[in-house]
Parts: sequence; C-alpha cells; structure tokens
Amino acid sequence: MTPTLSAERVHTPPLIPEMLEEYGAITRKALQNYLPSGAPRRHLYDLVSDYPQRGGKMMRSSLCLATAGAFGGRREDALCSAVAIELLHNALLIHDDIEDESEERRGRPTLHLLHGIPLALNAGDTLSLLSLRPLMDNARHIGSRLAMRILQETERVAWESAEGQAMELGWRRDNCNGLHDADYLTMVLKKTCWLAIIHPSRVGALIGTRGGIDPEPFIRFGFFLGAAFQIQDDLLNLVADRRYGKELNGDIWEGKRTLMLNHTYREASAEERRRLTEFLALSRERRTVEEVRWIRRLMDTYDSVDYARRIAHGLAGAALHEYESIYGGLPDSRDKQFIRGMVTWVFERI
Amino acid sequence: MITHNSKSQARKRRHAPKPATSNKERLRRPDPARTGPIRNATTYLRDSRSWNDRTTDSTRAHTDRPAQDSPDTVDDVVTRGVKLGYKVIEDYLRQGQRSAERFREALQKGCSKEGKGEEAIDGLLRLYKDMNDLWIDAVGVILRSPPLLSWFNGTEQRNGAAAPSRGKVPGSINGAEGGLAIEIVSKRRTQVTLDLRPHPQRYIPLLYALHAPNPRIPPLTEMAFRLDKKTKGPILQIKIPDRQPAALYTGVVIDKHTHEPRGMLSVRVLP
Repeated sequence: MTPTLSAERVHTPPLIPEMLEEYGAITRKALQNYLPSGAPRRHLYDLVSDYPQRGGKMMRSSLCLATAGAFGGRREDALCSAVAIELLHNALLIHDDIEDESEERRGRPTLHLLHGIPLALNAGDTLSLLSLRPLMDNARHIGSRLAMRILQETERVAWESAEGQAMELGWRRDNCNGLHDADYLTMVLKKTCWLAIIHPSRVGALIGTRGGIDPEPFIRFGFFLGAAFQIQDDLLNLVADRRYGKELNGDIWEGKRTLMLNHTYREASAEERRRLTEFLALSRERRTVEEVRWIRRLMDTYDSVDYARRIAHGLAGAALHEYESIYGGLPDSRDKQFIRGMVTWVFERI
Repeated sequence: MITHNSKSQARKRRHAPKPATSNKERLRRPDPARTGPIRNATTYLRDSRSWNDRTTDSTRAHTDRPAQDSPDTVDDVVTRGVKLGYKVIEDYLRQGQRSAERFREALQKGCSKEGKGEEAIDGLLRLYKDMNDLWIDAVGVILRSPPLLSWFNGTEQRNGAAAPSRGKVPGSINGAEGGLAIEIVSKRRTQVTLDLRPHPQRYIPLLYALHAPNPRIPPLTEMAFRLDKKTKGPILQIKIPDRQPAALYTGVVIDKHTHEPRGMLSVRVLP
C-alpha cells in the first residue's frame, strides 16, 4: 500500500479527538492519584499540580495506550506508563518555560512568572521525581522484568530530551546562525520526537507484546511524525489564535532557531543577516516589537513559512510510510486507526 | 555545519558579493514531465537529475544556496525534506549502533582473567535473580489470562469440578473452561509466547499472520486455532517452514467476528 498525503486536503477522522478525550480522561484520573495533596501546598504541591491540571492534549499518554492496544495489550497494563509520560512531560515543560523565558503555557502565565524561578524549578524537579512512582508501580501490573525495561526506556528518553534541549539552548547562548535543516532536525529528534512519539510508541508496543518486539522501527516512525508535529507547532506560533495557548510570535521573541528562522537567515541579504544576528544576540527584554515584526515580515518575503510547511508535509508522508511497515500487518482496530490518524491530526490541531 | 557569527564576520559578509548577483551562468533544471505538483511521500527515494546536480542541505554552505531567481518547486522542497529526514535518522541510528559496539567491546576487554571466577559467581547470582523475576512475571501472565489459568486448573475440573455451562462454540475460548494447547510443527528451534487478554464472552480466536520487524522477511502464515478431537479443548497449531529466517515474529490474536484484539502471539525462530 502506498502512503499518500495531500496535506492541503487532509481531514482528521473524528476518532482522533474522541480518543484523545477518552484516553486523556483515563490518564488524568489515574494521574490525580499521584499528585500529593498535603503540605507544603502553597510553595510546592499547588505548583506541582498546576500544569497537569491546565489540560493539554494528552497526546503522548494516548499514543502509549493506543499502541499497547494496537499490539493486543490491555489498556490498564499501559496506564502507569502513560501517567509517567505525562508527569515527565509536565516537569520538562516547567523547566523549558524557564529556560526559554516563555510567558504563556496553555493559555495562562507560565509557572515561573506566577511564582518565581526558584519555586518553579523546584516544582519541576518534584514532578520529575513523581514520574518515577508509576514506573515503580508498573512491577505490580506487568511484572518486574518488563517494568525494569520500561524504566530503562524512560532513562533513555530523559537523556535524549536533555541533549536536544542543550543543542537548542547552546545555539541561542552562542548566537549560532545559518543553521542547516539537518541541524534543526537532529535537535528536534532529540528534544521533541523522543518524548512526544518515539518513547510512548516503544513503551506501548513493549507492553502490548510483553517485551516481544524490536523497538527500533519506532525511532523512524516517531522521528518523522514528531518532526512534522514540531514544525507545525512552530508554524502555529506565528499565527494569532488564542486557542493555541502560547504567545504570538513567542518563538521569535525567544530567538528560537526554528526551520523558518534558519531558512530566512540563509536566504537573507548580508545587511539583513547583520540585523538578524544583532537581534538574536540581545536578551529577550532588550528585543523590540518592531524588530520582531520585521523578522516576521522577512519570513514572508522569503517564503520561509511555506517552505517549512512543505518540509512538514513531506515528513508526514514519510511517517505514513514508516507507519505501514510497523502497523500494516496488525488487524484493524480503533487504536490502529488512531495512530494513523495522528499523522494528519498534527496539521489540524490548534 | 554551524556558523558562529561575530560582528567581524558580519562585517566581512556585508562586503562580500551576494551569490544571487554572481556572474556565473545560471543553472537551469530540465522541464519536468509532470504537469502539477506531486504532494505525497511516494517520491522520497526518487533519484532525479535535479537531485544529482546539487549537494544536500547538510553539506551545503549557506553562501551557495540556490539562486533566488530559480526558487525550489513544491515538489523539490517536499522531496528534499524527506530525503534529509531519512539521512538524519539513519545517521542517528548508525551512531547508536557504533556506540553500542564500542560499549560491548569495552565490556569484553574489561573482563580480565583474574576476575573471571568472581564474575561467574556474580553471573550465576544474576541469572538466579532473573529467573526469579521471570517466574514472577510468568505467574502474573497466568493470573491475568483466564484461558491459561483454566488450563492450569484443568486437573481440578477433570476431577469433577463443574465448569460453568455456556453455549458451546467449537474452537471457542473464554475465561472459564478448557485448556489451550500449543502444537508446533517445525524442524527449527522455536520459542512461543501466547498472551491472551481475559474476556468475559466466548469468542473464536483467529490469527492471520505473524510478522518479523524487517518487512522483507516473509511472515508466518500457517497457524490456526482448532478444537482438539481428543481433549475437546482448543489447540493452537503453528507450522514453521524449514527455511523460515531466524527472527521474532509477532501477531495479534483477534476475535473472528468482531475483529477486536484479544491478545498477542510471538514466535521466536532461533538460528
């Protein structure tokens, strides 16, 4: 079967939001049991509960549950791992927001803006530790051997995410410009794809097959889907829509080396590059709205937004190809349809 | 691949001629045979002349980018993105393989002759511990899988314990009666793992094929659940061709009527 993706005409089946809602609710309910409710609430546990209670798409946990189901596993066997994934994701969001100096998260001020950096950092650390609890509880549900295997997978995703984040932060600190698309994709593979797609898929498949599967093919599938997801996320940052939950042009304000910014830089004239370099060397508070708007216009001038969109569509097509090689032989099921539908969903989500 | 920009570098570049204004002869691609853009992933391995005429993104310095008067078509950008994506992920996987090889070599070198006795004892202790874990896991699987649990309880039932009376469907499985036997017809050494979910209703299990992770390896297709004439219990028969490549083959057991997944079968064909 040849995978095709005509991105301008893709329509996500209604199954995707339905299952995100269904699996998200199951995971949220289980996650609540891991959020401490005692003291010290004001300075710790209220902060720890803040991001998980703001909602979110629950994409990662849903993908874990769906992959386990697609491979014949039981949803309840994958639930602890799904909760651990969400807890770790929220922990990293707190730290990312501090490192990126972000101002909005899921439609509200970021945690460090509400409580200050020291308390927010501590809450992020606590959420990371909390993510270990459901992983330890895994032993009761799926046996100690598979639980240990999933713990090893979690250790790996933590390393990959840290390395990806270091790449991006390093580029910004050292004002690296003229980056190539391969640099960007390598960074995204580590920073985004592992936690967003690769890890939930691998863990779900290991649980579904009780450890009887080679998890390597999920790296390819997860990379292509995760990269398309991240590029689309970067594109959404450039359009004004309050439902997106992040500040408009926030990535430009933060000097993020997105595919669009890298492309604009490569296409720009010498004078424009000089101005861009000077802007990117400034700290966030010294950047002006006029300069941000100028960069946004420059992106339009060099068709950088359209360029990134096309790259994303190509990567999504490759994700469909890799999907077929992994899931093609499995019998049809809601879970299988959900995973395939996510490839088009990344372009329609807000 | 990464350019560090300092102010002095920026000044140098300001005086450098722009690539777009170069006196070199303009590069032109041949007219494509297609009449419209192809927006799909089927072309990602295409080896067109336009590809051969240019270097890839990762090796190209930003100063030799395509001139702005010959912009990329939609198809070019999509194809380049996919090709670049495959390059990035394959490089990444190769790097992982190299790291794993180095790690294994280091481990092997680290095994000194003097320490072999202690390591053997450590190894035995680890094996004992792992076997213990495996046993606990096996019990867990049995407890979660009523068909297997009932198989383990078969003696009790044969000794007179009444099985719940339900509608008999030949070859059907539920969580209450009948043991499940596995029959392997093979000259090859194999390991079989069957993990069935508990299910309150009777159903007829069905398996289409077991696939290896490598799509080029042919799947195992000769397998079926049937009713054993002697024991009247369900039996899973698996035939493995003599020339079947060594690999781990997995597939989903489904309900014949609803096609809902009911469990997982994996067969490891050993070399």
